[in-house]
Amino acid sequence: MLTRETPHSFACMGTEMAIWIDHSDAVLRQELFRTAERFLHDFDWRFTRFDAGSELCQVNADPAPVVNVSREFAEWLAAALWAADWSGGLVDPTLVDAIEQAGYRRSLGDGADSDGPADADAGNGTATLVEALKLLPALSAQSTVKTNQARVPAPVAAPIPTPAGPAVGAGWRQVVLDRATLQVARPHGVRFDAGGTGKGYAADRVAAMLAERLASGTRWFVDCGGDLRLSAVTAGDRPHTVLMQHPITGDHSHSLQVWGGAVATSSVNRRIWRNDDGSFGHHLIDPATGRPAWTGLLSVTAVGESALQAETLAKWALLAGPAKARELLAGRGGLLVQQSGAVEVAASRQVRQPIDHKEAA
Amino acid sequence: MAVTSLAIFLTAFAWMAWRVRVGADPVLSKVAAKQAPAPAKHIKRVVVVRKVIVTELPPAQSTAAPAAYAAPATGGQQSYSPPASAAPAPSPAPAPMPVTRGS
Repeated sequence: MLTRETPHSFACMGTEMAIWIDHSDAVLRQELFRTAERFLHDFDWRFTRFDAGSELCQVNADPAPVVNVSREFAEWLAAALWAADWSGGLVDPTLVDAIEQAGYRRSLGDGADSDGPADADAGNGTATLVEALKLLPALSAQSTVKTNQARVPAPVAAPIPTPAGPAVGAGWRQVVLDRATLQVARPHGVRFDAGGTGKGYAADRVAAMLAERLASGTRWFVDCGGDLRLSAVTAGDRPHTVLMQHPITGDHSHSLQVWGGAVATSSVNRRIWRNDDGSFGHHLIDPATGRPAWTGLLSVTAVGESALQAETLAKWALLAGPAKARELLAGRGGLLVQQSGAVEVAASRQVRQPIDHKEAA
Repeated sequence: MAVTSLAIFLTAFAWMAWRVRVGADPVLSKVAAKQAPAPAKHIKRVVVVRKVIVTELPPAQSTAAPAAYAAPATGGQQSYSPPASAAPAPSPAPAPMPVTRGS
């Protein structure tokens, strides 16, 4: 059996990135890997919320009503504002205050505590979805316990699954971007966060570079922390197989066959933490309440023409709850993982189940 | 009865003697051939055409093994290793499957 090049992987944006190119020219492959990795690190440096020197932090800290930004910043902001508009305000890039109040004030990385121990500025620390789900029923039962039982912790109500909604007077609607002059006007206090759209947007940028440098028909994919962009499959060639990681078990429980475009998953099992009161928080904020959303869905996997579109669609569907999510995924297909852990397939023509775990290993 | 049997015997003997003589004489043979009845013209020549499927066999299925793989002269257990060119064409490794996970 011929050996095949393994994906070029590296850590970036607090997660794992991977790029795979099926091309016999090793020199060209390495050159493309270097170019892509350099771009992604630069993107991370420019848009991180956890480094005061980043352009994002400088724009957020600037008290002037109009600020000059780089071309890169302007292009990302245009994409983020498109995502907010397309999702009806659910994928909102101006929820920095809410996400910090929810406890996400430092980089939590892609997994549990991957960036080191929790500090005093990050709530009680990182947690796992499994811990949160185990505690939910107990916390719910405690709500009936009388408070005179001193050894029982303060009751924390289990979150009731509720669809998220757009923020009233959303900050993103008041942002004015001039892409010609590279100026951004926004009301005082409106701050930006690239967490909701940055990886998908970055994957699209790398994909555009690969598509420009490689011949049509060359197979490749870009993986930005699970947001995938895949080469277009030529007629007669086999499709890409994309595995979905279950948010609770971690298994590759399902696979999707796609002929190009993008696949992205939004999940509450990444960047989850435990608050001082015993409740759990995660990075997907309900714009209407400013608190982490518990909509009855643990993750949504969506298919799109671009990674930005797929990522936006996945987040939109997860925040909107199961009913709306089914409607949103009906066109292109996807997967819903309910709070029980059950996986619901949307548009089964593109989804194969179950898969052979040995094959997927 | 005896006369009849004798007559049949002599007739058969005479015919056999004539056949031997004609076969030995080339001139008489040609005469005899000319006197033979011509084949009926209504009988056409029947030609059977077989449909042939040509299959190009891979080297490994060649009927004769290369001399390099003849049995060793010293005896012992005979072994056969296919030539390198006869090995089945390597199949491409499966492409890596990317994993989508929560971001």
